[in-house]
Formats: sequence, structure tokens, C-alpha cells
Amino acid sequence: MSQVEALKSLESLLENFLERAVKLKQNQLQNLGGINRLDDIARQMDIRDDFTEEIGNWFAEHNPWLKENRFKPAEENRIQVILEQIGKKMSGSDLGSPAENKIRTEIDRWDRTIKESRKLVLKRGPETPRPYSPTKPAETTKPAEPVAASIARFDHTFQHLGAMFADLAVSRAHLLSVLDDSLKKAETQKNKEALILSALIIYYLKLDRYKISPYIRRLKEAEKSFGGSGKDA
Amino acid sequence: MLNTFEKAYFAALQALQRKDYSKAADYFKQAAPHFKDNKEFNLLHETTGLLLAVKEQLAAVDVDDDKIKIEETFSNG
Repeated sequence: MSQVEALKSLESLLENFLERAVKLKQNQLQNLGGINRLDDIARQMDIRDDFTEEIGNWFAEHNPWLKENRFKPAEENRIQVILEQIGKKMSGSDLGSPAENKIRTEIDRWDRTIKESRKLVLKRGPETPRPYSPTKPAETTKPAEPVAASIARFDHTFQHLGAMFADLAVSRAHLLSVLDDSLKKAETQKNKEALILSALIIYYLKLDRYKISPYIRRLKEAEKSFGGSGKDA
Repeated sequence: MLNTFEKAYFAALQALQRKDYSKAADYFKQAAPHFKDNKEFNLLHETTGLLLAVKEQLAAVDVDDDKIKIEETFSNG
């Protein structure tokens, strides 16, 4: 095989790989496209006069997606946050045109539908009798990185945790089984996000008075492989 | 709200869909600081870079071939 032939073969192989990789992400790409467009609309609300038309068009196009229940929890979170921003910006304006009122109604409907779809998921698990109530995260005094970057990184991690939890929980009947899977992932794959998710579940279970000491031992062991002391878990 | 890194990753994937590998590489580069621990991102980023390098190499070989043909034409002509 000549050099040119070898290069062309490699070129074709790499192009095929990328084509298939993108094809696998087709649905996610479509969802992201919708979220990205909504985000752009929200950002340009202050400078565009026709934003009600833009948002109206977005709802018209994406309402079927909501019915299909095609969004992942992390994507739903994103949409809720953006719609909330849009709602806030609209309530800041004095206008109360019929078009704006219609958009408010749509925002409420999306919010309600997303919350209801989550309730259905929670009903499947008998292990969550009490709704989860998030606590305010502790403030850190560590000035090691710019605040905006640390917030963006945590936000990114938080989105991943949500998606990872959804993946692990889909075939499990009890939160303890999800915790077991998450700890295994942290132990065997040295997955840092799985370690954080495990710690979160353990703390949640602790507040619900579950017996958690065996899981704390496993968490400490897993933490050692990340260079942590394993003392503070 | 989506941050600029996420928007860049999304734009990179869209560019890959259009087979605009050069643009995709630019967007991957912009998104890289935020996704440096994301294995899937790194795989796509590195593969795109490798593909561009291969294409560059192929283009260079083609140019060399053209040069030889021109030289031969002159020497025999």
C-alpha cells in the first residue's frame, strides 16, 4: 500500500467514525438545538421587538417534543431555567399584550408538564416517600479559581450527576441499589462524578435514618484512589 | 442559561454534521477548557484534529505529485 493509499484509507476511516458518532447523538443534538435557540431568544429579549413572535414560534415547534417526553432530566432543567428567565424579563416589562399573556400561559404549562413527568418517575420508586429538599450548599473560602468558572464547572458537574443518576436508576427499584451501582462505578472506573453522586445519596439516606455505615466505608475506600485521605467522607 | 463553552461544543457537533471539520476543530478548541475531563468530548476533538492532519498530509502529497509532473514535462519538452 502506497503512502497516499494509506492516508486515504485513514481519512475514510476517521470520517466514517465521526459520521457515526454524530449520528448516535442525533436526538441529543436536536434537543440541544432547541435549547440553544431558546437560550438565544432569552438573551436577545431586551434588544428585539419581535421576541414574542420568536418565543411563540419556538413553542409551536417544540410543543410536540414535550408531549413525546424526549428530553432528559438535565435538558428539562435547562429549559426550565431559561423559561424562568424569560418569565422574569417579561414580568419586568409593563406590557401585558395578549401575545405576552399567551407566552406566560405556555411557560406555566411547560413548567407544570415537566414537574408532572418527574412526579411519575418518583412514584415508581417506593424508596422515596419524602420529597427531596435541597439544602443551601456551604460557602467556600478557597480563592483558587475565578468564581464564575467554579460556578460553571459545578453547574456542569451537577448536570452530569443528574443524567448519571437517571441512567443508574432506570432499572433499579430501590435507592440503595442505585447507591451500590454508583459506588461500584466510582471504585472500578475511578469516576469522580460517581463518587460525588454516591456521597450525595449517602447523605440523603442519612437524613432519612437509613443505616449507612457500610456505604461510608466503601466511599472512603473509593475516595483514596482519587488522592483523597478518605478521612472526611 | 448555556455558557459559551457549551455553545461552542454544540456548534462543533453541528459542524461535524455538515462535515466542516476545520470549523469543528475551531469550536472544539474554544470549548476545550470546560470539557477537558469529558472523555467523549476529547475523543471527538482528537479525532477531528487527526483527520485534519491526515487531510493536510494528503494535500501536501498531491502538491508534490503535481510538481513532479510539471518538472517532467519541462525536461522532456
